[in-house]
Amino acid sequence: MFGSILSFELRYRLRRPATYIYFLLCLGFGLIVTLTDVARLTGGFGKVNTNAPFILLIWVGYLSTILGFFLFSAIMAVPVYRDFEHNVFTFLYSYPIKKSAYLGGRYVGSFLIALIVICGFPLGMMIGEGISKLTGDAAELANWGPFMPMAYLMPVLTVALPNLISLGSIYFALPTLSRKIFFTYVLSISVLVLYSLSGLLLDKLYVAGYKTLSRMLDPFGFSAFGDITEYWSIAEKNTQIVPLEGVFLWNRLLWTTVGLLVLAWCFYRFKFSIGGSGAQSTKAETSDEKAGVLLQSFKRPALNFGLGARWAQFLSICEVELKSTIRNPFFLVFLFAIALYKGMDAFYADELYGTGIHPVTSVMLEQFDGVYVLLLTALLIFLSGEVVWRERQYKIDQLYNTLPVPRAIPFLAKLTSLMVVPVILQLMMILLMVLMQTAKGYFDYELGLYFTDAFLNTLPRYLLVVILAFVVQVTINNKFAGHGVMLGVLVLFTFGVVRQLGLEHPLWNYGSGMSLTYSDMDGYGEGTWQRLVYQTHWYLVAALMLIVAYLLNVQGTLDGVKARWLEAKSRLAGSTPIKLGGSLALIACLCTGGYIYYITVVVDERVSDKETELLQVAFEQKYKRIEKLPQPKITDIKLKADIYPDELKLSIGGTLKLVNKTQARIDTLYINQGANALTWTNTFSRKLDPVAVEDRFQKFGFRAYKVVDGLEAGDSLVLTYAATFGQDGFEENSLVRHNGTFFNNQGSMPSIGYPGFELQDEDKRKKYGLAAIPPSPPYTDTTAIKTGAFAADADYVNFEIELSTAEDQIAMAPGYLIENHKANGRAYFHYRMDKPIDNFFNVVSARYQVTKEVYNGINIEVYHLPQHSYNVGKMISSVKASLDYYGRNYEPYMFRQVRILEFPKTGGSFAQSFANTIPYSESLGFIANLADEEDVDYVYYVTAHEMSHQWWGHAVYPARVRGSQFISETMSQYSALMVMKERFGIGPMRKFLKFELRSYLNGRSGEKKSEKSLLDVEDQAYTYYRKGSVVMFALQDYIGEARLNKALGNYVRAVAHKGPPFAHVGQWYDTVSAHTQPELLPFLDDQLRKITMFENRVIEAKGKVLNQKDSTYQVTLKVLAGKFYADSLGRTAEKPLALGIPVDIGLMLDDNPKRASDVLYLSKHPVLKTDTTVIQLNYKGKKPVFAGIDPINKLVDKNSDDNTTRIDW
Amino acid sequence: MQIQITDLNKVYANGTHALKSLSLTINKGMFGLLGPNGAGKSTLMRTIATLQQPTSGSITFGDVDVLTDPEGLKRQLGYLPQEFSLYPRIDSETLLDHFAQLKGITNKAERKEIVGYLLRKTNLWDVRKKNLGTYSGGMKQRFGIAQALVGNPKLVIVDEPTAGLDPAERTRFHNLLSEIGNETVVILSTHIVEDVTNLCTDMAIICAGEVLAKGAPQTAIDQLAGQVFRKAVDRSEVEGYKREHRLISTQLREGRMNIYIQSETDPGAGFIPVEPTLEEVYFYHVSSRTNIDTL
Repeated sequence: MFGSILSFELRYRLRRPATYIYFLLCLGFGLIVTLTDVARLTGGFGKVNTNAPFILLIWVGYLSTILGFFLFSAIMAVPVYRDFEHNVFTFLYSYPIKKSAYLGGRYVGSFLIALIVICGFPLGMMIGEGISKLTGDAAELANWGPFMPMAYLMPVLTVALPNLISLGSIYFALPTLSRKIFFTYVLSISVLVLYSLSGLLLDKLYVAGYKTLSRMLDPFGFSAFGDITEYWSIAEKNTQIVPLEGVFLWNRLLWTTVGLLVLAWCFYRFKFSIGGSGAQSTKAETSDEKAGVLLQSFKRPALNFGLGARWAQFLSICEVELKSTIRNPFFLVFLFAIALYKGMDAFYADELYGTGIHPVTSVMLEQFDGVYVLLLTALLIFLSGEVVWRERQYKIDQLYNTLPVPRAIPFLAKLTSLMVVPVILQLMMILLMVLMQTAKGYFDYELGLYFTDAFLNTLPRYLLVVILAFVVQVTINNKFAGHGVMLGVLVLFTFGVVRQLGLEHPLWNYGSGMSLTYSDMDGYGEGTWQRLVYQTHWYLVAALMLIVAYLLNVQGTLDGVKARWLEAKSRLAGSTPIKLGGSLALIACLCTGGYIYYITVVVDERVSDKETELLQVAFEQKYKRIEKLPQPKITDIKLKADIYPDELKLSIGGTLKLVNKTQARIDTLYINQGANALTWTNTFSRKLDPVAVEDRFQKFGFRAYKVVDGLEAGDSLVLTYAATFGQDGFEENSLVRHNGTFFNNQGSMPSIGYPGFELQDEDKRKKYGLAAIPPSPPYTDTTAIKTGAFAADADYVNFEIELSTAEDQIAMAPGYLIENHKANGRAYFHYRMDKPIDNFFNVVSARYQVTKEVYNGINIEVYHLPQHSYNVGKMISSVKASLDYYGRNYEPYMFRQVRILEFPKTGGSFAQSFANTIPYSESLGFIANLADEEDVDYVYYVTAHEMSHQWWGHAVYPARVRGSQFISETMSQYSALMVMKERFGIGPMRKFLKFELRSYLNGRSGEKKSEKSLLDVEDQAYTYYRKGSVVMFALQDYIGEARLNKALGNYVRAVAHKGPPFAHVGQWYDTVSAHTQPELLPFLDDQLRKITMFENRVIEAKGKVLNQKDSTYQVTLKVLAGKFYADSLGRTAEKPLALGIPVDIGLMLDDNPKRASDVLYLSKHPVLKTDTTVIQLNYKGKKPVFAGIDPINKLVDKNSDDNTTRIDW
Repeated sequence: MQIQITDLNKVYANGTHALKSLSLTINKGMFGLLGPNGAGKSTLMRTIATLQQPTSGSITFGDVDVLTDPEGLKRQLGYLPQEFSLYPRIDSETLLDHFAQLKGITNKAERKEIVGYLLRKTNLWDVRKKNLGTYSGGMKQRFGIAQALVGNPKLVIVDEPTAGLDPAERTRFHNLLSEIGNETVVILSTHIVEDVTNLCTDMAIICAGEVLAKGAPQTAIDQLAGQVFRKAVDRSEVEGYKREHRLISTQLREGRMNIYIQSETDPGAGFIPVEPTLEEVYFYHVSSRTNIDTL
């Protein structure tokens, strides 16, 4: 019997077009992913093959999961429900069928179909691989590895199949038992919401140390395999199939079991009963009433169809719709999910190194975007379907359609009821955010700002979504097709596919340009006019769509598309208000659209991504030859800049002295001026004639001049320029903000020579036939080391600048203030440097509160918003500690002042060190909450890092060769770590180092080209920041802090303030190795010149109490220790090499020590072999709980979690 | 007040010709619409109720041209469709009040009064606070009747209204209808011929989109008086009789097959004269268009 039910199910499915549509959908997705650039959007490509097993696992696994939400529910929910839906059960259940055969047959049949459907995806990818390999050119073929069937099969077996069992069984069981399909919808969306939620939750669990638990709880096993592949190198990604082992295996077993248990429960509970739907008729009915009495009361009521009555009808429909929406369990599930997700997200907002912030309102406002919009959009799509289809769904439409209500009223009332939904959500969000602020002890609620932002800045966008979803539902006139269309729209816009298709102009992007980021410093900035224009435009578009939808709105029984069209035409013809309103809206919309087009294309001269690429290619092909031509260097800069914050205007100009420092005569001068300037003039102290440059290259500021008599070696000339900037279109071209102007020399001052305007993406360079960008030259290149890292057109410059700004603002640039005054409602400042600096400076202007302190004759000043004074004291104490430590160990501070300047988060979230001037983003440290002593004080750290740049970067000015970031960034990481260690001890450092190690391993795993050693580092931030921290901390640990600092001091004194040639890692390494203990030299080499991965592991730790009374214990550890050298693609040898250095062996109270006292014993022991080594320790003191090898991860350990274990007593 | 239907045609997109040049005049009072399944009754009623557009023809109700001014009709219309459902998560009093509002009763007190009256009248008063999802089929049907009557309709169209009602409910509904039928045009579509005899002052029989007969039920019955005969026959003989006589129906009486024929003269041969009812009138007309099921 099972067999016949199964075969019926299969035959039924195979006759349904839906089955084929689902399969083709999967197949098509697979093809698209492999044949287009979409696959390469996932990142992690470059040298990772498109068909690398790792990539296939991500694509097959992830898409089969995401598509699975919908496909599994569409396929698995209906096999039994179908009998209820079509009332077949009423007779079918009287047949002598066995329950197990009935359910089993239906389940297995659907299961097989679902499995085949989902296999369409890897199948499509395989076909795609075949087509690509047959048709691709050499460049394309380089992206493909050999065909590996297992790589396609494994994700199906390890991800899709278990998910089908778990999800599919739940989808099957719910409607089967409840006999309602509704729960399936609730379930599928809940699963989606909970899954996105769980990502956050599980990550918190993970960070909190419940790693296995968090991995096990992920129902789709994604984070579980993520653990295995987290730190995989390119080579591993290309060749290794992700094994089903460890937590990944257990996770899959767990969720498969859950699915099977649900299925078993379903089999157990299911009954072949007919009256199980739960709707019971009410028995309480009264006896016949006395008809005579009541008859008299049947008065004829007055009917009213005036405007007031229309309004009442409108409100009445609104009310019914809104009530239905609010009572919809689905809505409530969503509301709850959003509240939960956003509540948590807000609670942990802007955490850095695990340290939270003061939840100021402007940061809370960021919660009104991102995932919230996605969830809200999904909810609105769903609800619009419900609202538009409510009468038809409940088969009450015939009652409604005979009511004397004009079509427009239910149309508008339904729309309005939908529009109330985001209003409710915004209010809920405000409440939630205020609650979160309260929970974190922050009581400065800016309710006005909340309401302004929620209702004027973000709500208009969400209302547009409402209108679109509503219009689509009305026009498509099929609920599920409507949902499908909206889902498609969502994918197109949210995931940037529209942009990929080349439709990147904002006018293609419905609802673009409508919300702005709020900064505490600068408010909404200069974009408010732009926002108003875009809002007006999109609402006009929405109005037009609504009119079309209204005309096409089906009421009653309309027969087919043609009838709807005719009806729409007659409706249009019959209504003057619609004709009039529609024409007006259309004209207005064309006006706003035209205006936007004019501003963006004509005024802002917007170029598309593609055009920019082509321009870059053309420029490189034409001008690459000038890169090595001799050009003069800037030696003296004298500027004057007038900042007009109210008008968003800037006029800037001055003189630049250019000297020919080469041995050759210079005939042509190449100048790059600000592309966004309104006006720009260059004049010269000698005769120069402009050389023709193509218009398209002039547009981005490139100019060429013929030096009439030639500039001989040693000759100089003065370039005088004057430029104005202003806000003439939508783009932020003025360089000025209302409050918080921050710009640097790039774009505001001319630079000399080849602008380096090159396409960086290697895949694209290949496509355009450009040679791959060569690696930076090594420090042994004696020409290259003569160019400074920050500016090729100057060595050191004398710098002077006069600034003026609004009277209530302070304007600032590097240099000492030599004069300031106020006149004519303006404030004037004159700064001059008394020493040459590198050609890299900034200008800021804002309304500041100033906190000053003088320390050992050095002025320390913090310029900040009055309400952002939380951490100003921390910054100052970090500056002082830095001045002490660096002054003591490197050389005395070269300036007499340090200024920290807050700038708006709209300018970025970073801090940057210019000479004695450190702009610092309002979102980076000013609002960090450092109340908890155990948290990483990153404000102290970042400040110390930026301070270090005054030595490493400015005093020691690196050459433009490999490893320059090692000199500036790695050394600043090291310096800041030491300042932090001095202040906080080693306790919190571990937490910090662990973050750094994880970031390094992650960054390395995402490398697209090739990994470099520290001394060869180019633009790999994960290496020079993250690995740099870990490596330098280990070096000072092994070599000794004092000894290492002595070497560094010698190095600084040898190279500082010199050049050209400038500082480089060659001298650095020589100096440090000269001070390093000979036995540590190989280690130094491993750390800096190689990519070395350590693999230390404790196998077991046995404890024995030697004497309870005097607390002596013996712990015996079995450990494995070894290291691997990785090549640039991450390939390593099979077998480890011996460490060659002693390694920490530790006894601890806590696996993850938080305080110094948690570490009972930590000392270096030699571990000479790569096979098991036994170490025996006798210890007196507190009874240790954990033991391990390199327990606090000083070494770059590929798997840092197996270094410690609980002691077995 | 009367409905004037002239030359009404409806051709569906699939080619079905549901109404064929149908003309009818319907006056105040109860009007019965009889016809087999698929005759076009529902199409006709939906067209009068403005729920769908005819292919050609005209309908007027009093001064209102129904096809060009649907709202003008809707203001005077009470409609109970053959199939409908109700919002499950809303109670009957709220929904009826909502409908009353939409029908133009803006005065709150009046609305409350009429809603209360109709809920009592349809015996739903005690369950007015219960969600409609908990109602039985009969209760839903009664609610449907209540909503059709709310708002002072001058034209009431009810399509198979008593399906699913028990005999007592049916009687109560008939009373209610005849009560309003005094000043209202009521169009009642039904399969139950007896209901038309009992309730209606006027009626029409339609089949295959055409009107086969119209007029007062009693007149129609009188016209057929003395012309209907029946005879108990063997199943195998039916085809033979069909060829020789105007066979109008076959029915079982006490387990035996009886054939009914129309004949202006006594056919003899064992045929017994029958006093016709509206049922015989109905079969007489319908049999002219459809093939009689001879079982």
